[in-house]
Amino acid sequence: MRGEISIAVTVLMLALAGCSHSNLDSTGISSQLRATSSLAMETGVFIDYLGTRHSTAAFARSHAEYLAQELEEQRRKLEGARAAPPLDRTLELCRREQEQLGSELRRLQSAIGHPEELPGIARKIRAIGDAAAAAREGL
Amino acid sequence: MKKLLALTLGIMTALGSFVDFGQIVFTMQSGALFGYRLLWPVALGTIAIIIYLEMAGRVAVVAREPVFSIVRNRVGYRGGLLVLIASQFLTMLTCAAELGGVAIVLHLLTGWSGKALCVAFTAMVGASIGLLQFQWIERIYGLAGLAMIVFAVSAIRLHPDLHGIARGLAPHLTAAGPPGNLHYYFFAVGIFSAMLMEYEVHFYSSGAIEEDWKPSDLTQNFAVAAFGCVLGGALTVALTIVGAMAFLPKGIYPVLLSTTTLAGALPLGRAGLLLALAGTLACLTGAAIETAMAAGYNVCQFYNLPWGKKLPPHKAPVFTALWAGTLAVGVLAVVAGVRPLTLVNLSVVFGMALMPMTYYPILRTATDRGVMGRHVNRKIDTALGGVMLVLIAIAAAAAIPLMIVTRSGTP
Repeated sequence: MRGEISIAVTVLMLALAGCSHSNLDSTGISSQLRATSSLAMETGVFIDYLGTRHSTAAFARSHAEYLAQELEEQRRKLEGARAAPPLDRTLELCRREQEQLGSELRRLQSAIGHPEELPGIARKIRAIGDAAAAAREGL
Repeated sequence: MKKLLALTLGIMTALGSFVDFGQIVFTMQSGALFGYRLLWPVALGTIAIIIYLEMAGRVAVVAREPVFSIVRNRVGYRGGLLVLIASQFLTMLTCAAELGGVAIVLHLLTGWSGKALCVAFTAMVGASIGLLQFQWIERIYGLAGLAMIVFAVSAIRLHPDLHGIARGLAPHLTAAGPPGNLHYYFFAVGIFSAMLMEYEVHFYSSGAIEEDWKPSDLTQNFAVAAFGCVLGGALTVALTIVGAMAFLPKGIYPVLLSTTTLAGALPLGRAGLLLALAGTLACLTGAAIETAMAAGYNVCQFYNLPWGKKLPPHKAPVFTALWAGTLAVGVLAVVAGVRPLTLVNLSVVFGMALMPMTYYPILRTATDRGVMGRHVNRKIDTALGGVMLVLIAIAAAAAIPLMIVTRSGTP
């Protein structure tokens, strides 16, 4: 019985270790790049909508917050993740794009109510989305 | 006028379950990935749920037996108890997910803390269930959900390709492109099962008894089920179209309720945004009420305990404690920060796996002349019901493996 318990504990520990330092294959990295690119494009649509001035202030602030939370969720998934060469470079690029998207989302949150700042943010965010999409296609 | 108002049971049942959190996000995602190609599961699901609701309503009216009373009689105590436990778990999961959606919409509407508002709002909803008669619950929440028609208006304003829509309504066996066939099947099964959520049938058949329908009301039963489901199906088609038009060309895979709501408002200005938020709030609230009440109905009907809104709370204590408790557990999950979309994915997939266990007993009872008398299924009803049973069994067997293989459809 004790032996069975120790096997179960070992399996559990290995599984947990796998969760915190997962090894990503090309499908996993492709999925992460797609999520980053999608979130960037989603943000672009939102900024366009803000430009029409049809949004309410509450919706604008709250939606920007949800977009930032979603990015945080994506970044958490990549924390501790590894990939074998040459995929490790693509994984690093994905992290960089996420980092940049995070900083643009922070800018967006403080730019709500300042429409003149939005086109610049939109351009950068679209460039991030395009870079992530291009990296995904290159896989 | 009374008959017209009876339609609200069908409207609330259908809107609260067809257009709940899962369906809003799920159908927009299917549109974003496959365009109009997955409209056929919506059509199939609409037909299936009309057949199921009509049959469950007819059995409830004629035999005076709602779903879980029949499950116990047909499956036996032990088997029935397993179905009941699984069903209660799913109902609770779904209620928590819907309330999670409510918190998001309240945050989007006001900018204040969604969690705090959700606690206050759920208390208000609970009070309304406790104080209002059943008819008023379905009228208020059913009619408020009609604001979701704004998504249909948006779909029209986006000028969709009508030929593409017509082609999408015919079944396609393959995805014809990325992210591939397994994802395509996962979304097909998911859409079909989200339209056949267990709790909507339990709510509807119990509602027929709550409203004291008689065998002479059976034409009304069909009209109510068909009207509500066709309306819900049309709105689901509209959500898919909006997803296909707003997200597919930009390569967006929406995972936020706020993004899907925004898509509905894109062509309509500020009024469109507010209507989309109000309609979503009404539908999610309706779904939370349906799930909470279904939790009370299920247990009381299984154990033959007093239930129903006609009885004062102290005469139906278990029923009252269960619906109130389900709402309370749902709010606790929201406050604890559980992600509603995760709960929704689980409830849709596991709901499908459970569906044959409740569908089959209803089908058997509806074909039993000894119970149903002259209201027994016609041959065509039984044939259609049998075909749907086969489809439900296939979807039930495929749901969990597809969820695992596709990581809940993540492209």
